[in-house]
This record gives sequence, structure tokens and C-alpha cells, in this order.
Amino acid sequence: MTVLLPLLLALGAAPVVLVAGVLGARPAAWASIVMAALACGATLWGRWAGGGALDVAWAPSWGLRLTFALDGLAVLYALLATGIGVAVLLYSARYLPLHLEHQGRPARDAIRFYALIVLFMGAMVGLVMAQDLLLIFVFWDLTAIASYYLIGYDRHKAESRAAALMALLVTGISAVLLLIGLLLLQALYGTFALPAIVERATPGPAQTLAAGLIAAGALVKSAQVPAHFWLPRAMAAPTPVSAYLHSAAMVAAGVFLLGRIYPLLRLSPFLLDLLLVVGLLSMIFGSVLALTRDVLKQILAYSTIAQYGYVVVMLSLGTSAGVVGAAFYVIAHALAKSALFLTAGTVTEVTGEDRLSRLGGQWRGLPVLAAASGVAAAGLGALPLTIGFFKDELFFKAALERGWPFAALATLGAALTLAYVWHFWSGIFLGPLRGEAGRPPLPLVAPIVALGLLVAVGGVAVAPAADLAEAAGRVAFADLQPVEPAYHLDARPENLLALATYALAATIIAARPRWFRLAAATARLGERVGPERWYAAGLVRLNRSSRALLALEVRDLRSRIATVLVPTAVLVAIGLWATPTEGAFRVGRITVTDLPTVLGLLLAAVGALVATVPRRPLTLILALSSVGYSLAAVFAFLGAPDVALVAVLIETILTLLFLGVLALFPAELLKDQAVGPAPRPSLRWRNVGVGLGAGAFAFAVGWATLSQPAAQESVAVQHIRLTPAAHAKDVVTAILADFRGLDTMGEITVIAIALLGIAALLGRRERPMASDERRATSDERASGEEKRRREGR
Amino acid sequence: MEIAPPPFDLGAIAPFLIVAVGAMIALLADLFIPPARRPALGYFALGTTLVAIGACVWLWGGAVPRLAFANMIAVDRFGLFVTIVTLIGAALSILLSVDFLQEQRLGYGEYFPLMLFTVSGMILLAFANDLITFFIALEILSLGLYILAGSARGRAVSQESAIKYFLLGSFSFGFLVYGTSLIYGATGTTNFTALRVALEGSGLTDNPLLLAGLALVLVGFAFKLALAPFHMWTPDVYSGAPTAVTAFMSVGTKVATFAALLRLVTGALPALYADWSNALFALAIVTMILGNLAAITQRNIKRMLAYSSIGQAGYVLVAVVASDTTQPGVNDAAQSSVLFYLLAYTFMNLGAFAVVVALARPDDERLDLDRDYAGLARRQPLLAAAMAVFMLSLGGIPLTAGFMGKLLVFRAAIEAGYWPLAVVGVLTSAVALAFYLRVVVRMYAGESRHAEERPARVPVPLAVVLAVCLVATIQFGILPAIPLDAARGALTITAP
Repeated sequence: MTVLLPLLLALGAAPVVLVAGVLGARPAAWASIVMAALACGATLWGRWAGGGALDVAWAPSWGLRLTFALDGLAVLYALLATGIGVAVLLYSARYLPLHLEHQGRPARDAIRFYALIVLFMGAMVGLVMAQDLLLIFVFWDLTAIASYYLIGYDRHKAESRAAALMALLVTGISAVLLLIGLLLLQALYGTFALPAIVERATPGPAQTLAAGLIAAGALVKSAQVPAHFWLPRAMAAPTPVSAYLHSAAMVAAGVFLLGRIYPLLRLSPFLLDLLLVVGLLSMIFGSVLALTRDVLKQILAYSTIAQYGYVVVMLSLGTSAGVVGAAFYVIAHALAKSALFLTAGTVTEVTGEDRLSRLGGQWRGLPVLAAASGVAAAGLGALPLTIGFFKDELFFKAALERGWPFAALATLGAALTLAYVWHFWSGIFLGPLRGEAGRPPLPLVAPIVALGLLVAVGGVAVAPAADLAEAAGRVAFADLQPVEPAYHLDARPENLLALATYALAATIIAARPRWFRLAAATARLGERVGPERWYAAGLVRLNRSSRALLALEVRDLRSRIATVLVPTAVLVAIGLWATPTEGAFRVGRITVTDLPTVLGLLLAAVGALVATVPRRPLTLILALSSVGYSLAAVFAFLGAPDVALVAVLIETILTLLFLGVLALFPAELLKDQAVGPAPRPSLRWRNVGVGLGAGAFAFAVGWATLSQPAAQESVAVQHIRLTPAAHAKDVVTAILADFRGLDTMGEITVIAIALLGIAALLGRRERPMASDERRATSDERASGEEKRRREGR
Repeated sequence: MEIAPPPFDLGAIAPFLIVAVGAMIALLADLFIPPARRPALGYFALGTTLVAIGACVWLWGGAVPRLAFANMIAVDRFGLFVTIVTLIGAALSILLSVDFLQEQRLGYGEYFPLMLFTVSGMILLAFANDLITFFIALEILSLGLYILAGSARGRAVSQESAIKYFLLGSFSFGFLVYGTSLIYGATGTTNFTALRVALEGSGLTDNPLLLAGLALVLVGFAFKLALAPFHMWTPDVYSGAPTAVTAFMSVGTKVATFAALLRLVTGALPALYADWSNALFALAIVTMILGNLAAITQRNIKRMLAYSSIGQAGYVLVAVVASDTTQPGVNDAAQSSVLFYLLAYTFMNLGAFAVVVALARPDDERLDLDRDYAGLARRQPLLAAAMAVFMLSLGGIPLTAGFMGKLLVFRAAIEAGYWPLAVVGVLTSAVALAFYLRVVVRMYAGESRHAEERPARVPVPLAVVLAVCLVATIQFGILPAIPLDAARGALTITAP
């Protein structure tokens, strides 16, 4: 029940919102807020009631189960997803009507938005509670799809469509990595259930590979270097989407997954080191790039990359302090970052500007907003009296455990963070007044104030957040050392590092003109040769290879036959290759009596060769029939006159039919065929090669057949033995009239009916066909493919 | 000496008989029904398939497996499962055709009888326990399809597709017959059961004739299943044939032929596992890569679906490769995932084609992705939503039937140790998302070109098809237990 209630409320929110949407956009907005609040409340209640687990069979015969648990990790992320969801939805309820009004879109468009946000929330809650890798994957993809629609919400803008597609493809790659990883784990440990896998896992290359693949997928989702480029692009989304997806939900899903599979990651020090490198790179690059940005949301996007870099670094330290610190960091960051995103949205809404260079001095018109977002900014910048102070305290503590170099890097990162936070906040609110500001409506400020209050309260009463983080850490480390974030007024290393951070940050801010060009150059370099280019190049290459493939699929019948013959020849060749050759290919003796046979075969070969040369249909037909007749002669020489007779009969009928059809053909068509351009020389050689190859293998197969006696006494021998008993003079008669008498009668009947039918058809051939023909020609004109083929010839 | 006539067991082939007799009745009735009442033939055909499904259910509950006609037919749950899937596909295709034929002015004529004859071939294929039966079944099936592909007699592309299909089809049958005769030459039998017995513990597995014969038979299969590089006919035939026919042949043929392939390789040739699994391994990789890659640049939805169906066949093939009878656990998982995938594929693919059919206009089939699908969500939100579900399912997104299918297939591959197949499969299905999702993107984000025109009314039979496919696609993704258990229960390929 404790598990089921939050899960059902979160997953059921989207349908409820859609139903409420029937009444209009406002009821839908309220429904979404209420559902999110209920889910948040249910999660809190679940935590208070001590968590719980749910395990039902899904497809029992395949060992698939639905397992959910409300453990510490799940509580933390579910609270973030639902709690910040409430704030963002409250904000959207006012923001979105304005947003739609600006764009001249109907107010009802908002319903879809609310439904998608709560769908995302549901997917997120499902993801964090799932205890089964398969379920994790399912919800993982659900978040990707919901985020695609959310990022591309302004669907008339090409930019946001491209951004949505990029986010989808990149996170799609993360899903692929995850899928391969989980299939590998399933193959290794025979189950998708995460607790069982953790129990059975032992260090080894396969385990490292599987965990590494999953971790790579998680890093992509958390926008870590080098797969970070989709996040700044995704800022094309409406601001509440950015505030939600890129602070508390989508990007958080990545580090959540790292936390979820942490027991597996821990088995491999190599993986942890790799994570450390990725985290450090993201931290430094994200921060430096954030300092160079001008567009408000871009600063925050790069900041998100950097901040999740911290989290990854902390996780990769491999200590319990690191894991708890990471969990705490996620809470502090989500609160502060969503407030800052919403601030950016409000400022843009009231001033119409979204760049720092066109903003300034806004504290005069927006004092409340300035104060609230100032607190949030202080929280992100880790100033004392905010929850953010403790996130850095834990960060420094964890880094110090690993050694001084890490502490130094941590200090640098923290200083950079403080610098860009200042850059962001002071750029909007301080300095000379730039940008006309109207009065913001209350709902566009209130959620920011609420989040700012939380940041401040967390700075005084840190225990609730610390408890949450500790409970989350317990999922990874059962024997957790309790970490107690608190203010200590002494010269312990963490405090010294904090002071060093502030000093460094001040220096960075003061020296801005000195380093700015270097940082901007780095950003440009990244744009020019960075991963975003790889992504674009990859897409182009994919398209190009697809086109090349289609070009290869030439459209004339000859190439098609070649594509059947060559692989067949290869397959048969492999078959022959695999078998012992000893005794499989026997050569008999040729005596004088075989001369007619040999001659007949030679004649057939010559006929076949000749058939490749002529371009006039008539000659071709005659050459082909000469092959048939010479083979008939060979049968006659080999003592099978009946076969020879049948062959001659068939050959004659076919030749006559061919000639008859040819006579009915329009003469021009035949002439076209005869005098048309010769095939390209390369194609000609290909045709020769294909013919020779196919012939060679047909020859080899025939040879092998003839070298081998029949496996069993054939049914023919039996038939010959039984012929006298059937009172027949020869076996053919016996078969036709006796052994297969019923078949013969059936065949005669069928042929008779067919003849009757043909006679009837021929009798009434004058039918109005004109309209059909007319339609056919117009269709032909319409068919582009047809035209291309004609040009290609 | 007496040659004893083989015993007749008509009850065993009841589904086949029902459909074949139904086809004949429909053919005759066509002569006496006034043209205006011809749609009734469609409902008659539908009824026939439903009765045949009933017969399958009856046989399922009865004493199976059951060998009939001198072991040339094996009626087992495996065959019955496949037959039911085929019949469902056929029933839905018939419903799809009823209004489509009228709308496109194709005329009813022999359409429904031919469809039923084709279905009878598919049923026979599912039960074939002898290379000869198999060959006859394939011929029955193909002859009908050749004509159906050309049934839009007024359209040059349709004629062209029929001729291409016929020529290359006959060509491939040549390989099949040649291969069959080589196998017969090596072992002295064409019967699956007898083949298995003959190959067990004999020195025959190294026989060049046998292996060459196997290679040729596999080529015949590859052609019929449109496995790359034997797939060249597929895009032209699929895009040229009337859409309802394409829908029918893309599911029915594949389902029945895969069943026959599985029965042949695991029921008759388990001794040659090393050989055929390697050949199919290579084919599966080429098919998955080529089918999905080539689909990316297609702008015509029918051609896109044609390449997509090539890729999908590659995924099924992955599970066929994993069907190693020496490892019963793995084999069970692999074979039942083949069955489940075929079932899921039937619904999702038919559903996608049903949307294509729903959009077609008499003067314009509306096949261009950029022109006709852009902005569809605004004009016809329900159709667009349905199409989105089918595309996501074909792309293997969770909570759809397609995802379950892919998951089971890849899991089977990894369990059998074929991790390269699973990796290529996962990667190509990610590539495939590019074109499946493009349809969704076009529908939801594009600018509508036909905005001014009134959306078409979706006729009731078509709506039924869409609803059935939609429900099945989603239900198999969320609650897959029923079809999965049925697929498990069907795992008795008769080989006594």
C-alpha cells in the first residue's frame, strides 16, 4: 500500500488531467497540481510508514515480474519529482496561458502540456521505485518520450523540434546502452531483479562491461561530457519544462540510475575512475562555459551539466561519504536550480528579454523576486545559511578523503560555480537599469519564493534533508557512516576550503576581462570540433549510407538476379567447403561410345554461350532452344528416350509460345530493345563474373551429385518390379494408368476445365478496355520511379 | 505386394479444408451475386476465416500432435498457433479490403476467393511436415499472391509489381526444388520426421549434397521471407501492390513461412544446427542492418514499411538462429519468442497498413511522408495517435507489443551465446527509431498540406481493424502474459 499509493497517484495523474481537460485548460491545470501534491503527500506518508515493497507476477512463464520498492533512494527522487513538480505546475498554471497567448495559440493547447508534465512525473516515480532492470528500462524510455513532447512543445518552431529530436536521439542512445547492459546482466545472473543481481554479482570483465554500459547510458541522460550538448539545445523548451526536466527530473534520472546500480559499479575500481574523469571534465567545462554564456537559460543549462558533474565525482569517490554527499547535493541543487530557472522565466516574461546583456538593475521593479532568487542563487553558490553550504561541505569532506588534489579540484569547481551564479544573478538584478519590467503576476513569483524559502530553511535546519540523503545512501552502503552536516566555527579543512572557494570566486569575478577571451575561445572550439559536431556528422553519415545502399540496389532485373545468384553461390560454396572432398568428386573414364554424349553436351554449352551475345529477341530464343534440344539429344544417347521425347516436346512448345508472344509484341518495343545503348562495361564484366560464378557452383553441385550413389533404393525400382503385376508392358504406362491413376484423372479434368475456361475467355475478348488503359498511362506518368528507371537505362 | 493407401484424416486438416472450400464457394457465388452486393463476399470470407479459427481452437484442445497423410502433415500446437495468427491476419486484411476495394475502384472479382486460397496455402505451410507438402503449400500461397499483387489492373505499378514478384518468385522456387532434390538425393527422403531420424548419428551430416541442398533451400526461404540480400523484390512489390494486399502479404506470408522454416530446421535438421545456424546468423545480421538502414531515406510510406518489414524479419531470424535443440531451455525461449514476435508483428504491422489504407483517396493514395503525413495529428488526431502507437511498437519502445517481442528475441540470442546478434539487433533498432519516429514527428509537428479538406470518414470495418490492432499492440506490451503463455504452450514441434 505504501508503495502502491504514490505509484498509482503519479501514474494515474496523466489520465486524470486528460479527463479534467474535457472541462477546459484551467481544470486540467488544477487537476495536475492536485495530483502532483497528492503523489508528493503519498510519498511522504510512505516514508513515514517505513517504505515497503510490491512484487507481482507480470508474465510468469517468462520470469518477468513487477517489483517496486519505496527505499531511501526512491523516496528522495520521488519527493523531488513530485514536490518540485507541484511548484513548477503552480507556476505553469499562470505562465502557460501567457506563453500561448504570445504565440497566438489556443488556450486548450495547455491541457496537453499539463498531461505531459504529470506523465513525466509518473514515469519518474515509476523509475525510481522500480527494483527490476526491465522496469527501469521501461520507465526510462517513457521519460524519454514524454521529454520529447515537452521539449518540442512549441512545435511550430523548427528550433524546438530539432532540439526535441536531438534530446530524443541522444537519450535513445542511452536507452540502447542500458538495454544491452541489462541483457548482459540477465545473461550473467539469470534475472532482471536488481537485488538478486547485486547479491550474485562478482567482479569480472563481463560484469564490468555490463555495469559500464548502464553507467554510460546514465551519464548520457545526465548530460555529462561528451554527451552534454543536447541539454543547452533543449532550452528551446518552455521555461517550466526546463525548470522541471533539467533540475529535478530528466537529468536527475541519470545520476539516480548510477545510485541504483552503485553496488555493481563499486565492484570495479576502473569504472569508478572512469566516472571520476567524466565527472571532473563535466564539472570544469560546464562551469567555464556557463561563465561565457549570455542567454539566461543557457547559463543555467551549462550549470546543470557542471552540477551533475559534481554528483558524478562524488559518487565515483567510492566512499559512503561520497554517496551520501551526492544524494544531498541532488536535493540542494534541484531546489536552487528550479528556482533559478523559474526566475529566468519570470524575468523574460515581464521584460521580454532573455539575455544578460540586455538586462540589469531589475531589483528595483522586482524586489521580492530578486530576494527569493538571490537566496536560491546563494544556495547554488554554497554560501552559508543556505542548504547549499552543506552540499559543498559534504563535497569537500568526500574529496578530502581521497586526497588533496581532489580537494583542490573541488575548490576550483566550487569557486567557478559561485562565479557564474554571481554572473547570472547580478547580471539580472544589479547594475544600471536595463529592460522595461511590468509587474509579474503573483503565481509567477510565489513558487520561486517557496523554493527560496526551502533553500534558506535547509540552511538552518539541515536534518530533514540530511536524513533523506542518508536513507538514500543506505541503498548503496548498508554499513553507512553517518555524516552530520552542521556549522562548525573552527578551522577544520572543510571550512578552510570554503573560505578558499569564496576568495577564488571573488578573484575570478574580478578578473573577468582577463580570462573571458580564453573561455570564449574554448567554447567556440567546443562548438567547432566538439561532440555536437560528431552528432551532426553521425546523422549525415547515416543518411548518406542509407542513400548509398539504395543506389546500390540497382533497379534492373539483371542486378536483382545477380543479388540472388551471388549469395546463393557463396552459401553453396561454404556448404561444399565444409564437407570432405575425398571421394566426393569422382572422375569416370570417357570411352569412344561416350562421344555422342560429349558432343551433345558441348553443343549445349556452345548454345548457352551464344545465348549471351545476341540482342535481338528472336536470335536469343533460338539460341536458348538449341540448348534444350541438345540436352534432349544427350538424354537420348544416355538411354532415356522417353525423357528425351518429353524434353523435345516441352522445348518445342516453349519455343513456339515464345515466338507467338514475340509476334504479338509491338515492333518498336523490340527494336528499342535491340538497338538500345549497350550496358556499361563494368556491368558487363559483372554479369560475366556472376554468370561464371553461379555456373561454377552449379557445376560443382552437379558433379558431387553424380559422384554419389543413391542413398536408398528409389521408388522407381519398386515401380518397375511391380509393373508386371499391373498388367502393363512398361513402367510409364503402369504409373499413369494404375499406380497414379486417380492423379491422372484429376489432371485430365483440370486441363479440360482450363481449356474450357480459355475457350470461353477467347470467345468474349472484345471488352471495353479503353478506360482502363487511359488510367494506366496516367499512372505511369505519375510514377517517378518508373521515369527514373527509364532515364537510368 | 500391396501398396497401402495412406489413411485419410480429414479432421486433422479441418482449418485448411474450411478455408479451401470457402474459397471455392466464394468463387462460385461471385458468378451469381449482383455487383452491388459483392461486399457480402468479403463478409463471407471473414466468416470462413473465423470458422477456421474455431476449428483450430477445437484441434488445440483435442489430441495433438497428430500426423496425417502419411506423415506429410503434422498437426501440432505449434502449427495451430501459427495458423491462428495467420487467420487473424487474414481476417483483419479482409476487413481492411472491403471498403478499400470499393474506394479505389479495384472491383471485387476474384479478390476474396484468391485471398482465401492464399490463406489455405499458408495453413498448409504451417502444418507441412514434408518438403513436398511444403513446396506445394508455398506454391498455393504464392500463385494467389502474384495475382493479388496485380489486382489493381488499371495501375501500371501494380502490374509491374505482380510481374516482378512472379519472375523472381519462380526463380527462387527453382532453388527450392533443386535444394529439395539434393536433400532427397543425399538422404533418400523428403519427410521431416524421416530426415531427422536419417541424420541422427549418421555420417550424412558431412555430405556435400546435403549441405548444398540445405544452402539452396535456405535461399528459397530467404527469398520468400525477404531476407537481405534476397529482398530486392520487396520494396517494389510492396509499394506497387494495392495497400490491402501489401498488408496481407507482409504479415501472412512471413508468419507462415517463418513457421515452416522453424519446423524444417529444428524439426528435421537439428543435426545440421552448426551449418544452418551459421548461414542464418549471417543472413540475420545483413538483414537487420540493410533493412533498417535503407528505410531511413524512404519518403513513400509503403516503401518505408517494406524495408521495415525486412528489418523485422531480421529480428525474428535472430530467435530462429538461437533455436538450438540441444539446449532445451534456450530452445524453448527462442522458439516461443519467434511465435510471440510473429503475433505481435501481425498486429502492429497490419495496424500501420490500416492507417495507410484509411488515408488513401480514390485519386491519390496519399503515401508521401512529407506531404501527406505532415500535420496529420491536427486533422485526424485519432488516426495519428494510432499510427504513433504502431510506429513506436515497430520501433520497440516499451509498453508496446514490439518491445516485448524484441526483448524476448534478444534475450534468447544472448542466452544461446549469440551476443553479436543481440548487439547488432539493439543498435539497428536504435537506428530504426530514426524512421519510425520520423513518421510520428511529421504527424505531430509538421505543417498540414491538406488542412482545408474535410477529414475522411473511417469506415466501420476499418475502424474495427484499427481498434483490434491498437488494443492488441498495447495489451501485449503491458500485459503480455496471455500470448506469452500461449506461445510457450505451442512449443511442440512434432517429431516423433
